[in-house]
Amino acid sequence: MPQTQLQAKRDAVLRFVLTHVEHRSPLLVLKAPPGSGKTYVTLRAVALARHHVGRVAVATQTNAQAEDFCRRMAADFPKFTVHRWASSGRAPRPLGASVQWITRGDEIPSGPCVVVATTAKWSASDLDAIDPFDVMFVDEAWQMSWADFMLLGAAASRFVLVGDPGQIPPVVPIDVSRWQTSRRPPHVPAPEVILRDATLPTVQAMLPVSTRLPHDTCAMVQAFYDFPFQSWAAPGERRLSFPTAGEATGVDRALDALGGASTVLLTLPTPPSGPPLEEDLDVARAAAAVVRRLVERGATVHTESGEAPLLPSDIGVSATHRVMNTRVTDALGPLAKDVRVDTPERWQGLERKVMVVVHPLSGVTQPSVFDLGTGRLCVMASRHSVGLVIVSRDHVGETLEAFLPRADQCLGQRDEAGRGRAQNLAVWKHLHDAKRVVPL
Amino acid sequence: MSANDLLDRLRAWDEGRPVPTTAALPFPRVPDAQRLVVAFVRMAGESSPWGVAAGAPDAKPRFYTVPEPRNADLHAAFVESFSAEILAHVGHPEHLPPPAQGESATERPFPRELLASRQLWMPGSTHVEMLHLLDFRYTLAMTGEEQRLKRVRALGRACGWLFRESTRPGQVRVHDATARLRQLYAFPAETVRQQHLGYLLAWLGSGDRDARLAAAARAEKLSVGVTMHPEYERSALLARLEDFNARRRANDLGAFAKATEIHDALVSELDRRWKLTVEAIRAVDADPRPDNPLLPQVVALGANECQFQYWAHEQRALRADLSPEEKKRLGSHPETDFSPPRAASRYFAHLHAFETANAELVHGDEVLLERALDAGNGFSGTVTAVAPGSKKGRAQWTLETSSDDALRLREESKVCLIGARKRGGSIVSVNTTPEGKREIVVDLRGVAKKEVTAALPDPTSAAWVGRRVRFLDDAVVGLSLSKGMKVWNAEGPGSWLTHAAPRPEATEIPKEPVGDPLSVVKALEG
Amino acid sequence: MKRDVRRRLEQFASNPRCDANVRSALHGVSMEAVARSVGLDPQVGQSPFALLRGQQFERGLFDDDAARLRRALIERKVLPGNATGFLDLRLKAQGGPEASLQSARESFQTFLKSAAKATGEARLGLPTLVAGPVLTTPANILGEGLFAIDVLTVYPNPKPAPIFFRVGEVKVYPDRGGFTDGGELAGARAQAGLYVHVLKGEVTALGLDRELVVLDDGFLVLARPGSNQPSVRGGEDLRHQAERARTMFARAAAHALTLADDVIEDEGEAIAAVLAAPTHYGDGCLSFCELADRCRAEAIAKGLPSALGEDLARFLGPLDLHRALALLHGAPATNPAEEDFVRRAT
Repeated sequence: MPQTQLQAKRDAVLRFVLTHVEHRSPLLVLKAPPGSGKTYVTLRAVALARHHVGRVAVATQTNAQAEDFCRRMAADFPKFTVHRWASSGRAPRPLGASVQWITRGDEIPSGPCVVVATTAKWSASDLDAIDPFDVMFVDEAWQMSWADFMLLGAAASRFVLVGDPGQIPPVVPIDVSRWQTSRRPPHVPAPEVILRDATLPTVQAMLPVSTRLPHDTCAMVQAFYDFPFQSWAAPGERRLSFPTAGEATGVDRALDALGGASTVLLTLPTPPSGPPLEEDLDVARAAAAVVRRLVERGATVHTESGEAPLLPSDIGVSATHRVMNTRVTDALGPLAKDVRVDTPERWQGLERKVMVVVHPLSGVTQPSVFDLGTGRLCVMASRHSVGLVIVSRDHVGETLEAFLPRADQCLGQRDEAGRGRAQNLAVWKHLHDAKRVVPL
Repeated sequence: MSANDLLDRLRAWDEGRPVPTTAALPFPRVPDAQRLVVAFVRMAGESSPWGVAAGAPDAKPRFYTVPEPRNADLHAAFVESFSAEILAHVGHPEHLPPPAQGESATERPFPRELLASRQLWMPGSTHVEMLHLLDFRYTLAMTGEEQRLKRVRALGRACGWLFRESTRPGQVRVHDATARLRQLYAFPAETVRQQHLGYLLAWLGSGDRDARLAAAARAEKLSVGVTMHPEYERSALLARLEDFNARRRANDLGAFAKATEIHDALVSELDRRWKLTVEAIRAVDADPRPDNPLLPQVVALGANECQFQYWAHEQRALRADLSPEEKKRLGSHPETDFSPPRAASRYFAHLHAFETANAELVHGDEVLLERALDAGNGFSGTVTAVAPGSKKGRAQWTLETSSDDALRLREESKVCLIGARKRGGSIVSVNTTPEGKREIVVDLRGVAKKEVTAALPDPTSAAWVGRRVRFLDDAVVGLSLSKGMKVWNAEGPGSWLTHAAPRPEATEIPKEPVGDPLSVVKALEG
Repeated sequence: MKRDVRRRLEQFASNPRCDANVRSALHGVSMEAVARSVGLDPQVGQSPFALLRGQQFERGLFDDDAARLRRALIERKVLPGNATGFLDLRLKAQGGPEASLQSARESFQTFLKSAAKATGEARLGLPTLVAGPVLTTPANILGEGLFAIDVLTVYPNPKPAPIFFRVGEVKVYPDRGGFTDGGELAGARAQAGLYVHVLKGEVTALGLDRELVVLDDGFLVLARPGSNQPSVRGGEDLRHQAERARTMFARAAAHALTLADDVIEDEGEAIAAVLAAPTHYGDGCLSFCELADRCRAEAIAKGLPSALGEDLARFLGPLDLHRALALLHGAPATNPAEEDFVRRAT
């Protein structure tokens, strides 16, 4: 689809969101796929709400998110003073001329304002002592349980919840059987509870375009989402090129394949006795070799904005097991200081031009419901803007095909094992069908 | 199942006997007078008990049965007959020792000392589930003679509370004996096989691996859950029950004799389950490990739960001025908390219980500590430098740790010194040195002079340099508790959504747009 | 026609990695018979009370034109408030009118065809509840077998919209909300998924898949604790369980190809074939296979980690118990998998 049409689609959703904010719709849920500009939209909606409505609250899930939001607000809308409300133990940070750092509730102005704090801060504070807000924006709302959201009812009368439904769900450390059939299950992400209830006046919007993800990646990660979205980039528009031909190795062949499409699966044979479960040195070395060859071969990044050399800091690595990340770091040698290597949980919200990831099921031959959870794979497969190399033992497709999911979830809950198998299989098949598999 | 659990199982197989999994017991051992042991049996296909055995572990159990559990009237009479056992144990205000002079049952204060340490022991999970099923059947009972209805409903509510309490993390009131043994020991068997109390007790017996394995295999042939073996039902109960029903229909007095036969057949099954539970208690009592010294706070939290989730409701139920409508709403629904604030409040209470038990008990059990460090919830390292901290009296320590260790803690994580919980602070930075070591900087609070000893110098003292220390996550406990209270606030402006209060009005969106919000926003950009 | 296809398919699915189990399911010879043939005394059998209770519960649902069940379905919004009509295809033994599974199957096929054709009043007047509709499993190595769905709800719409069907599974165990037994629920959903898969196949085979649509969500009918009243739970997503059924049929067929023998009708020969086949012990065997204890003893003798649990077997990966213990006692690791284990264990 031409970018003018994509822009029109994106503007239409932005306009839709702004119109509802302007007209004080009580409840809006905005679903945002990876890299779809949700902060861009939220900033504009916050500015409009501040302009029209007056008192605006913003709840984020972490301090870093709160501060990033303030910085961007200061850059895009410097005419509005933003109050960063933090705990007294947190050292103030410079966030921009229009951002004021406050630590007490009585420092919040009584008139029109924009106040940014974490959900924890909002819920730990005495909100009865603060004038109510007209609207509250909740960022990364899929990371917040309904119970925590309930506490925000004391802050504002209207809500805009924004987030990515495909990400890693929050950890619930206790048995929640008692509340599984409750009308408002307290442990479930707030937007899910809201969307399940047809009696609520919910307005729903979906951001239609991912500016981060390359064209064919969108098609692949679409399996994790229940709404369609497209890539800002045209097919093949973003790619890597190398000044010289590669060697006749699996790694170089995989890298060469990134000249034609964004994703490639680099497979290692599965030993007859099964793969090592956690620490798979061969896989770690292969992942590091991919990074090293990207640098050694002097890759050039081609995007809609032009060409640029690929720097080590443009590359990221992710594996689900900490020990694998350590082994990749070891194998990277001096490159480790520039290449971020981390778990998918820590990669949420970040991006790189090229990502090298170890498939979460590479060391799993008998998957559990936890193994099949697609949040981590979804995060790992959606951090790159140009290229993605998935490194894995080659059994995964067969393992998934042979696995018979057991639907022992609580009454009324989603069949996570079946769904996880189907989505994982869809991604694996997508890569096979698109001939994006390169054996090492 | 964690890697440590699986390794313990492997070790147990290697040693040919169960191996302890903790350094201290995560629940207190109390005198037998504080313990009630209860075991059930039920007719297969039915979801209510057919018989109950109850009693303190140092006394003989009392047995209660009903000849025909499918008859609603007979069943209610049977439930009423054993209700006093449960109600007295749980401390129902009408089943306590008489109040002090001048106090009425509806005004007496919560007898915390009497009830704080009471423990209900049951053979296994299906027996605990029976509490839930009794809750379902009797809390909402609608028909029957008034006095009986009152008693069986009270029994239903008590069972409901006990069942809910059994699911609260770290609780020490309701004990599934099988689960408790699994918590204390690693057994060399599949998880599914470890659901059998007799099987576990046989492994705890004597002899080498083969002898214990054989004894366990023999033990697991006998049923210990709430259902009996189908063959036993067929041979010992089916004909007698049919005979009982026929005689009862014919008003034949011989029905009583049949009822006695059924009772006897159920008693032998109940007795086995009850005695196995006592055997498990005795195994726990004989365990040489100490009780975790930090249990008091966990016990105190349990006493609060008893007071506010059970006792206070029951005391209110005794009030004469309560309307029938109010009486109906006493206690909780057996299935779930339908009311959103109640569901959220209980969810936070369970989170608080989880956090409290974790934060407290870990400091009283070296094995739990080691596991917390393994899981990355803390770290051990050598102090390489001590510098002035962020404020007067505070100190900033630089520690060198292995980069191979797991670490879930990040900058700003609160930590405390293992062995000196009051010595704490927050992580300033986590970095990797050029040599590949992990360097962690911690900003430590100052301490009062009286807390300074030769073993624990002031945090600013250079004497710390070169010492190996361990830090543990010092997560703030109490936040969930406060959330659980705040969540009842239904007065906020957003309570139309969070607490189902009336909804605010949106302005109508005009069909034809009047001005483009996009251009308005554009104009606001700087 | 083979009997018990549904049970045998589930038996197959319970442990498809065990050749003995696969052959038992394939040849239709029970593991109980196999166990007895080697001198074991398996404790099997169903409680007489449970059997009766199940029958009474189901009968109670369908008595009086299924009034009790319909009420519960309407209350839980599985059926609309104005839904009427009941087609009873249960066997006489269960209180229905049908003489045999074969006749019930014919009646159901007739119903499907006439429903697809029906127009106007007749279409809107179709029964909204069908008890005991009988399906045929696809021709398969397990044999072609007949089995009955517990209950089907029907949603007639004026043409050209299709008529929707929704599958329901009746279980007598108590609905305890979020505490309802997960294992029992998994079994019920697996069965309901099988029905969805086979019913879709039948509708397609009849060429009626444009007129008749089998929905991917279904409902469970459980018992209210301590009562004969049903508790209906709608909105059960059966998509993946239907896919599981498809996979099971495909795998059963693939397995059959790998077994050299044809289906054996003679019981003695079939038992011998089962006993000659290699076994693969796992935790689940304890709940369905009468040879489980024997296989576990063999697994212990061979040092197979599955003897101590599948979770431990997963943890040890390719290592057996002897090797894992040797490594724990300080033996040097000789390959990456052993190095990985030593690192995780220390």
